[in-house]
Amino acid sequence: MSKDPIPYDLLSGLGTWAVTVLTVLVLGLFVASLVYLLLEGPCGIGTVFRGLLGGLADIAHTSSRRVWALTQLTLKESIRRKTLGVIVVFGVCFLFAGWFLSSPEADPDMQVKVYVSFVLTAISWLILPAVFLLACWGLPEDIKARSLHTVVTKPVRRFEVIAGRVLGIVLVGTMVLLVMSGAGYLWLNRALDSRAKEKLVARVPVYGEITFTSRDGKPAAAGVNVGDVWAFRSYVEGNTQARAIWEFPNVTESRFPDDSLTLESSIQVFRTHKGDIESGVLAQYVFVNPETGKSARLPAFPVREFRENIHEVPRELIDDSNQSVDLFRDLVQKDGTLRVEVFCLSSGQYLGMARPDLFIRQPDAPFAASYFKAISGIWLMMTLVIVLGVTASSFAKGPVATLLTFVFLVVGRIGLNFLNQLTSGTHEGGGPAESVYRILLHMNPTVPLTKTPLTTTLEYIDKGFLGGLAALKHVIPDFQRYNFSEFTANGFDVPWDAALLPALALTIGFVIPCLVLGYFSLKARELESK
Amino acid sequence: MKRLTAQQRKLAYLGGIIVLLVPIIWLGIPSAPATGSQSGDPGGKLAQLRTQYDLGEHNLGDVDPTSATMNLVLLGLRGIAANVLWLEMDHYKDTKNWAQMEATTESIIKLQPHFQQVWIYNGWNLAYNVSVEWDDVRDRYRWVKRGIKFYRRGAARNSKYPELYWYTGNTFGKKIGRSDEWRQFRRYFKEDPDFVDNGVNVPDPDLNPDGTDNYLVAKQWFSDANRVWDEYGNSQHIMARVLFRSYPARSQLDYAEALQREGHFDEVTQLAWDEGFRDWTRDYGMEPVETPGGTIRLEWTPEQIAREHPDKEQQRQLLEWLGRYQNMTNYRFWRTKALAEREPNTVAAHRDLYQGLQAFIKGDTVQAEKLTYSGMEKFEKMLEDFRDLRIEQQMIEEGMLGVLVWQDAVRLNGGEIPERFPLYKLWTENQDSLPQIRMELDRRLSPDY
Repeated sequence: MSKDPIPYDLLSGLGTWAVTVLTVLVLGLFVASLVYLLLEGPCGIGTVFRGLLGGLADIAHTSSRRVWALTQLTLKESIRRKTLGVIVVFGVCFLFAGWFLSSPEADPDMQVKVYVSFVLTAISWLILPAVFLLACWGLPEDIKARSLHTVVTKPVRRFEVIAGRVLGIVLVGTMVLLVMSGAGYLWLNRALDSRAKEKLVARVPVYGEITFTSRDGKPAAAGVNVGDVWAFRSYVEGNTQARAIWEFPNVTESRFPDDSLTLESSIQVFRTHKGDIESGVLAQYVFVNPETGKSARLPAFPVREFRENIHEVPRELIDDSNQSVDLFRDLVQKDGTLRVEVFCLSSGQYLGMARPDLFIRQPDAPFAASYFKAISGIWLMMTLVIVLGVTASSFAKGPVATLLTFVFLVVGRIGLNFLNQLTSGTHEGGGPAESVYRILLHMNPTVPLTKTPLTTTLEYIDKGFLGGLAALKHVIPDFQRYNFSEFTANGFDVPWDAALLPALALTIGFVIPCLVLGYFSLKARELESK
Repeated sequence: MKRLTAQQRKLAYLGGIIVLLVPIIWLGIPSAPATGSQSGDPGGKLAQLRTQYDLGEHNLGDVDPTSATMNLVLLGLRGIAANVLWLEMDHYKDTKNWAQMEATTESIIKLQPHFQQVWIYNGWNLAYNVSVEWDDVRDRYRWVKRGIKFYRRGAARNSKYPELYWYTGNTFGKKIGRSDEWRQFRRYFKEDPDFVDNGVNVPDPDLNPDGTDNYLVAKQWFSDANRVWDEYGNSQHIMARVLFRSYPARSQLDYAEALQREGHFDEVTQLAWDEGFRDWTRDYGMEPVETPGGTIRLEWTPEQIAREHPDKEQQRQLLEWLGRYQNMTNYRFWRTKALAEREPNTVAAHRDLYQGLQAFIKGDTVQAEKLTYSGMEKFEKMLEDFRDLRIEQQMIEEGMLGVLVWQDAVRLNGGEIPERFPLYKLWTENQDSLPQIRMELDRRLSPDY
């Protein structure tokens, strides 16, 4: 896999969320108070807070029956607008999918990667534009056609209008998504050949934490950089004391009742000389218990790059002094930590490793579980897009709402990395002011700026701007969190703590404030104005 | 229009559509080729213009319906889509996601099927860049095959242009025959690890149906490149014409050299050199080559030029250009080498030196001494017969290596190096290159070689 599934820190996420929501609330109240102060004088501030409290009371009295009635209305409207037609487009895509996918002679695991990625990408690319347009254009169209008047003149609350519309579109989207995901699953089972079908698995890994030692055996922050463009992996030198050390938590007998462990790795090889090209570079696993000093090693094995390297570790092992040792009793530490050290035995060659490259493989989950978890990621993303679209349409007209939601989607999907680099200061070339200065002087981004009053001023301007951006990035959802296809396509189960939980937290974190914002916007909106 | 009823308006629109359709259909009638006794139809004006100016997609090569559909569906967004795909492909390559990289490459060529650089870049990527990323030599070979098959498809899609034929031949020849893994690759070309018949590895039926040598397949592709150039008149932009045209003959010579490199010193090798000489001198050597001084043939001698061009100034000019082009193509060396290698004495010299070296590597120093000495004697005779080869680096290295092995074997056998020995002149004249030759011997003695 090309990414490290780091477990999500829910508490820290909740903290960030609370601070962001409070900041936005305080800012909103400040701006509203200022406006009403100008409009109504000192009593204006009271109007704002009365409106806020009244609104919250209004939300608290939401009726699920009325929300459901409005949901049904939205559902009918969406079907009338031929949203289900997207299923036909999806069907056509699959009819011609074979034209664009890899040749049948490709390796089975490569076939699986391409086919699974195709299905999941096709589903998200087709469903998102459909719900996106529905969400952004529904309310403005109703306001324009004055059909919303017939709703708001009835005893329904504005919050119920917003919630009903969101639920209705989510329901339509869910129906379409269910059909698509079911068809996609069946198609996968029919389109893949028998060799590839065997690779439709959902491995359940237990990851550890990785550390490195240098060639003289001392702890090192990382291994050697061999000059690879992709700095994901660190390398250990062969036939030296350099090693990658994994510590796996909670390796207990009760968790692995089969009296053995399955270790799987995806180690990379870097050769500094041709060596024995037909035998492969040798690696070895050594189990070490630092508490007792006992250690045992598995036989050396040639690394099969980009292929499965699976090793069954029996419970009974022979230690370095030729004594029999028990894996769980003698080699696992008291707190349940199992330490595995990985060496490269081939002199002059290097092995590249990152945290997810070695894991304990638990019994596989069914592929369907991983597949439908990936679909749930698309569903969560779809829900968030709908909420953003409906919220935007509650205060803006159709085109503006569409543009606004689209910007959120694009920045959240492909621009957030750049934004993070910019605000963390890791991006070369500085902020916009410094960039303009460099462009005008034809100055390379890597050339340090000479300290002059002008450059100091520019740096201050950039600090202010980037500080604003740093605050702003918290209100842009990270849409990459919803992409679980890499897990499913690479034959892994979608983990709860590193994928599902953050995606769920992200959606809930945006849904709540967006619904409230949508309610206040619709309440403040002049519906007579088209 | 406002006074018309809805139905009348619709009828008016329908009439307008029909009026516009008539000239469009008349202009766009497709052409039909002549079949058997039936004469062809030139088609409408657009079809005629397309034929006249070679603008149709079929004028470039095979038409892929998928690709044509994709380009039609994307309307004017093809450029943007292609750019996005290129960025994605590069990202997948950097992150070693080979499956997605290959799939994205497939999508790119659907969008740009007649942009030859796309085929060239991606074919090279698969056969060279991706291949070396894999550690297992069998995996490397699989990617080389993918690269070749990719080039081959590109050649079919652009069948009237010689470049992709040349690249296909070049990958068959150089990548399989000259890379670090040439021993394994040449073996796999005839005994593919993925194809087994009755417990025996057989060649990939798609790539090498006749189970022949990679250099001979390369020769065929280079010949096709030359044929396509002659047939359609579309030039190539890889190298000078005179060099480009030499590749079929060079492949034959490479084939003969590879046989020797692998220790084959039999009649097959001799015949390979024989054919190489014929290809070099009769086919390639007799091709007309346009030079600023006039048309020449590389095989021409000064006497032939004098006979055919009585004008002295023209003779001088032609001779000057003949010399330049012969130097550019290393024509005389390959001619002499092929001529020499056909001789039984040369074959025996190579065989003895090779076997002497193999005996030395195995530790049989007595046999090594005997064989290398015999090889040195024959090698000296060859250099006497073909004096032009004395200054050729390849020959110098082979002779020096032979002497070095012989001297080491003599010393290990407890003997002394005599004052005079075969190839003595070559040995003393090329002492500067001795460190490199020693390094080469050490490399060959290493178990990794």
